[in-house]
Amino acid sequence: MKTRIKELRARYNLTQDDLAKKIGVRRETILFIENGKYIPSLKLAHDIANVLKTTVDELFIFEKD
Amino acid sequence: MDDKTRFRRFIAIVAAVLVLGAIFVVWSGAASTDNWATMMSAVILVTMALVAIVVIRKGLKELRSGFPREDERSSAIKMRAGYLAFFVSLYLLLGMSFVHAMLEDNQVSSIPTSEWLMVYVAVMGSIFLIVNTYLNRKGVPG
Repeated sequence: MKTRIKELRARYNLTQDDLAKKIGVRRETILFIENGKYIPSLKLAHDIANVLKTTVDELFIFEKD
Repeated sequence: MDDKTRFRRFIAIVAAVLVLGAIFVVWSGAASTDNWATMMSAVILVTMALVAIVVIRKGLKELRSGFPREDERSSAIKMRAGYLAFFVSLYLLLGMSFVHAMLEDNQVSSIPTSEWLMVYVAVMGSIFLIVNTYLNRKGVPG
């Protein structure tokens, strides 16, 4: 799974800390999601998409194994 | 319940467990002539106290930083670590029971059940800590 979180964070000038605090998760969670090492729940994906003013579809790119 | 209240409750439970553990160690040391079980429980208690100090210090730091102490990823890691620790130690307990029965059948002096249980608890706790630390660094698979 790839994400566009890093790119959109940069667009809105948000650090991982800022994003984590806005959503109410730990900073490591954002780091792991960005690196594709953790697949978030639908609710968390939706919350991240909301903060980054996009949709879940736009934010996460699922690839076939 | 907010993070502060949850953390206070956690500290109270840890303190109660450590006090009860200390009473048990002192009581078993006074009541029994067998030093091995007392030594083992003292080692487990000291390890628990050290782990508690590390966890509480980390928790305080996290509370001050403004991040939640637990979120869906850390819960998933704890669940995975708990699941693994439970099943691995369950198999270990079955294996130990088998060895215990064999020793008794062959009339070899067997190790008392209380000492098996000490090892069981120590192994379960160690597996949980190792898997928890590993998944925290590497990420949750799947």
